[in-house]
Amino acid sequence: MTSYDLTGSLVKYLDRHLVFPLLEFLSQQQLYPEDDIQQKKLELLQKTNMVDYAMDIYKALYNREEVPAEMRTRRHEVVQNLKALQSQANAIVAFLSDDSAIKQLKQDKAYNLALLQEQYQIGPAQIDALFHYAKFQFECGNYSAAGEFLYHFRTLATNSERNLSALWGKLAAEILLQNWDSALDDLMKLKDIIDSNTFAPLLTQLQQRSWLMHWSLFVFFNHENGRNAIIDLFFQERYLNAIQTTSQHLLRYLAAAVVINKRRRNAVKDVIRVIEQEAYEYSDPITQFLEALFVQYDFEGAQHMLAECEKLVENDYFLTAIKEEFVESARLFIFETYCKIHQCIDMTMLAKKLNMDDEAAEKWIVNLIRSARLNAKIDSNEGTVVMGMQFQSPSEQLMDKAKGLSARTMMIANAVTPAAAVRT
Amino acid sequence: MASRLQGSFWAQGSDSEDEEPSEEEESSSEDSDSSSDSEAGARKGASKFLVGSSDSDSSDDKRVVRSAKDRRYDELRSTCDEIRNKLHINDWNSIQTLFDKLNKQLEKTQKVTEAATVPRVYIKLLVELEDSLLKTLGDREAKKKMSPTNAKALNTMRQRLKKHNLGYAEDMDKFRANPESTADESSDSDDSDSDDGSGSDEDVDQGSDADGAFEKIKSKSEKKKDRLLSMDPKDISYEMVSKKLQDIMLARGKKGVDRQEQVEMLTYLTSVAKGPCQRISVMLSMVSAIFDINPSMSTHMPVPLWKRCVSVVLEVLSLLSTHTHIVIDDSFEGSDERTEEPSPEQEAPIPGNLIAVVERLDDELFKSLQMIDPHTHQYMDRLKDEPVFLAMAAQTQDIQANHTDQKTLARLALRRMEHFYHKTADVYEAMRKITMAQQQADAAAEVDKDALKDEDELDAEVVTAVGQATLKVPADFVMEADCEAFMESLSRQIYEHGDERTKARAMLCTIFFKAIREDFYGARDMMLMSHLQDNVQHMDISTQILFNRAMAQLGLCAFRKGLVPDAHSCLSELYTTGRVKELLAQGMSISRYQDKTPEQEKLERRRQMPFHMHINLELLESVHLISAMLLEVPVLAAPDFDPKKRPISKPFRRLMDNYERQTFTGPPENVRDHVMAATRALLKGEWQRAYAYLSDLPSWNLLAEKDKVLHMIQQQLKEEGLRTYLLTYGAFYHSLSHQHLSQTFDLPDKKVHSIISKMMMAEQLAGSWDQPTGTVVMHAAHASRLQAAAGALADKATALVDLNERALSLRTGGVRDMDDDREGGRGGFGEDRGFSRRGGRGGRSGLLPGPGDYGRGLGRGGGRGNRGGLRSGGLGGGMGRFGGGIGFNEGRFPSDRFSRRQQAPTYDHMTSLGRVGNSRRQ
Repeated sequence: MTSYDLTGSLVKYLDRHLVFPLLEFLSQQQLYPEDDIQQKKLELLQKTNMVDYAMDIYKALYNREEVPAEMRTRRHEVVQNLKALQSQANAIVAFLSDDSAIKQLKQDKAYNLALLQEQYQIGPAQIDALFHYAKFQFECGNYSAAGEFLYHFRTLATNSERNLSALWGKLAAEILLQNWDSALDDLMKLKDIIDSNTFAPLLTQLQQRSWLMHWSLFVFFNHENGRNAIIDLFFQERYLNAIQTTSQHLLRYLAAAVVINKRRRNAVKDVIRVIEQEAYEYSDPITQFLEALFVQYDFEGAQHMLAECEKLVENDYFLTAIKEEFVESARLFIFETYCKIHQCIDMTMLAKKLNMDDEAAEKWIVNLIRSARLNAKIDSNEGTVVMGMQFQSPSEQLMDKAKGLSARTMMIANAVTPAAAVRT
Repeated sequence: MASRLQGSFWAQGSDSEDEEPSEEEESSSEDSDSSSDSEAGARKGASKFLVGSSDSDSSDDKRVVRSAKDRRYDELRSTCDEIRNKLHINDWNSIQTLFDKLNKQLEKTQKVTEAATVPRVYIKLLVELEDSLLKTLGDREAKKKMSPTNAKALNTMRQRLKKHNLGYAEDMDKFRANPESTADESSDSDDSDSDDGSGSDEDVDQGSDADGAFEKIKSKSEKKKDRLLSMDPKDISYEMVSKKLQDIMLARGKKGVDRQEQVEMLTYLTSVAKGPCQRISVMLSMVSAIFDINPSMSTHMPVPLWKRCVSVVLEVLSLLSTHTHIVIDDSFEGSDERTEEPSPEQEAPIPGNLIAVVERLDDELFKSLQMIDPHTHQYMDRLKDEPVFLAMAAQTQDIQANHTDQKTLARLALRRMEHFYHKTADVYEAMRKITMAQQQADAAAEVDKDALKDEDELDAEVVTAVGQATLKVPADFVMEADCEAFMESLSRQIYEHGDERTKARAMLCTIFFKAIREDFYGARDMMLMSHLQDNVQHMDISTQILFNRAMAQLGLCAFRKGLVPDAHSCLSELYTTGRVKELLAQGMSISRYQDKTPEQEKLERRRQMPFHMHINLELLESVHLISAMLLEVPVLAAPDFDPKKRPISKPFRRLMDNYERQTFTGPPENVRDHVMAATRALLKGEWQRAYAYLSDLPSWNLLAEKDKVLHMIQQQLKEEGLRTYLLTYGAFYHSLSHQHLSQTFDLPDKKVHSIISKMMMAEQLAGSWDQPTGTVVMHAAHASRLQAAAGALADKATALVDLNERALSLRTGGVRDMDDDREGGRGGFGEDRGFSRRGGRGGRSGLLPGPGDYGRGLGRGGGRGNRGGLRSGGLGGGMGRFGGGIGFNEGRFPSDRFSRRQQAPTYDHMTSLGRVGNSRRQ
């Protein structure tokens, strides 16, 4: 099962702090030895400022009461730094915590800066300090404070580069706080910034896009409207390019999103094309499932892959929530495709293919027929489903062809006449 | 200019010495005035080695000499007459150029006649010139009237003539004294010049008259040589050697110096040179001297000379590696001041450019491989020199790593790479083994170390014993066991430091290399990422050839992997023009319709690939045709086949037409016949027969994995056969048994099911499965002829309406969104089947081939959107998207692409990082 695990390739594109949820999830799933995971966590923490947490893990991991000296000195340093930064940012933090003061701020950045300078003696140095302080808070795991500070920083800061990284920080904070709405907002803002910055080196653009897509997974699979948004985002040409060049493994999420999205059936063809192109670089049960179903029309293979998919989805941090939906949609896919090329299907066989017993399958089909999604009838005597197929006779085809012509000509005529009238 | 043309013309006339004209031009331009000098220099460009001086083989046939002599005299005379004419009209500008020409001709004449005397005609002209010059100068009035350029020319002429005439003063006086003497210039009688030369002895510095100086230097060098040779080597001092070296260097490139002799002299000097520093500088000039022996660019350096040169360079390298304080630097100047061997502590730069030497040697090796008949042992022997060269290049690279700029090093790395990229794993392994065996044999044979020391003598023998000479591969040269890693490291170096061209070439080499090592995807991705297809037209021809070669290998690789469409898209470009040979530089193609000038032909010949690098054309052709066949046959068989539609492969269609037009088709003989016969069989669904034809092709034996490839072909034939069969005969069945089909086509049930399902989904086959009975039930009803005709009429009417709509929308300003049809096509998925089909077929048989695709968009799906757009005047129709529409049409009708000679960036559906965008067009 571990071979399907993508955590390894995902973390390369994630912030340190964003990796924690993944690791937590992994330790729940118990795919890997617990100690290994804790060890990795510890490594992660070493570069952050969450020293206390690191100490706890250390104690648990090595079963010791004492922590090594460097951890303690590190803790000391962190506290020192925190204090130093705090004192630097004190003025602005005080200002920001005062609601009435904030109300004085307006949309105009220049005005705000002037205001701050005049009334509160807060200059660019302080604003900068705010950024560092926020960063430090974030490193300490105090995401809500960090998020808030960064929000304010963004309203005040003029340096666009700083602003961008503040936005990244804010997005991370929102994700970790699970504020999906504002996270989605930030995500879109980031996307706009990245897309509008066409002068950046191509490599940077590519990198930023891959990062964005990876981070967005958190948002899209948790936000209620995320399923459409992920398709929209990933299918944008530049993002699709980024997927194909650097992070083919994202295809899994794209494919899954397409499968569960009932209204965007058109996307299936697109995703299959990409999957086919990248098959030599990346394949997993989900992509293989789609390939088997829509490229090879190998229904047994698809069935087999679907079983694999179930296991995979269960163990994927992002997908686990949509497991039921996925399986249901996938099954429907198989059935639909199957019906499309058959005129008569044996029920028992179908039940077997759908992984249901006869009764349930029959009910399922009847439901489909009732909801008018399937033009078919059940022949209970033979135990078959007979599709209602419509084929046009040549004369009908001819009629169809000719039907629109007169109407269209009329339209042209109508369009031409007023134009002529105007001219004369 | 005229003389140059004539010069090359003579070269063809007298084949005993064809390097003569170019060499003479060089020498003549040396001593004529500066303008012609720079012009000649510019033409000959980088090859400064070429500046030859004397004629090495003056053993001319008597008869040839006679005729050549006459011709030259005639020319001389005619030029003189021309000058006289110009004198009359006072056109000094032309006189100046004519005078240069005349001087050149004079030298040629002198060479042919081997006489030191000057023809009387020439002297006469000089006298006349001088007189009229004086006259013109005296005439103030006329001078004022002159145009500024003419006046300037007059002044230059005056100065030049003054200088020039010094050398002929005696002759001129004689002529003035006796102008009536017989004008026969062949009288070699009074030879004052030679007397003069032997008279003055050690005086080098005064040499205003070029010819005289040559004589002096030559005689002097002879003398000195004698003295040096006869001296006891112990008595020869550092200073003597460097003086001698300088003399030789000065004489280099001048006329009348025996280059062979120079080389010998230098060889001797190396043995007596004091200290490694001097030795290296002597050897470096020896290398240049050896290069000078063969001054022509079109012929290759004789193999023994090459070997000798390599051995000298190797020796230099070994000296350099032991004496690390010595640095060869081409930007360093002024070693002349050095009077004694520098101490090993301090850095001692020596002027020279080792990398240029190595590059030149590489060129010569390449050229010799081009010229030698590949079916002889000589060729094999020559190939065995490659490791030596590579060893040398590797050493040079190591030694120069710190002293040369990275760009040049990258160039050298590319040179090395170009020796490796075309070698398959087997070939590489073989080469490695041979090299190792050679090294071992050398080590065994090397009884005493003295052999190394006496290499100079050995060298002398090398030259005399032509063909027997073998070079030793340096013992410390190791060929990497892992060729891939080696290539990787080379290419990394190039990507880091090389210039654009070097990088592109390295990239192409890597692609080629990957393709022959079966890494199709790696090679393809590299091709796409590098965007080479887009800008290869702007590169030099040799890079374009490399690109074509890489593309061909990519195609072959795709075919071996069974990726037929990929193989076809790689190869189809090469075959659109029918000039594969030319595109791959593997032989000259003879074209009926265009004549190449001799220059073009010469250039092309210079570009040819050596035989061992060839890609087998027969194999390439069969792969191309077979992949075209596999793609085309189902299309041909489809019931809605429309001959007006753009074919997948034009060459294939053309062949088909030709083949079908034949009244009698004999048994297949060549590749085309075989493929055509197979096509015929496959069109009837007879895959076995088709396979028999194809497996008969002899070129499969060239493939290492012959069985695998044949099996792949068989499999493809079965599948395409099944599809073709269903398309052709499906309509005549009510139902077809699944089992029967899988038996007939010898395919597993699953595969048959998959293929048929795919066809059903793609709307190619109007039928559906009947699962309980395991049959395919066909639904299609054939249209009667009336219905078919009416359908065609309706199609045309649709196209007409489409055109009207377009005309209207253009008129009203809004431009319709041409992307509609894509949306329409996709919209068909999951909806009523007939829908997207009609949408797809709408206007294909449109009135015009051009807007046919446009019409397709207006099928039902897109049409609706269009009408909506019309109502709102289509004003918001988005100019932005118009661009997309145009691109779409370009992709469809790239007619100009066929006229392009070199590769255009097709391979469309996978182009570059933008491959997503493009593939949507399909």
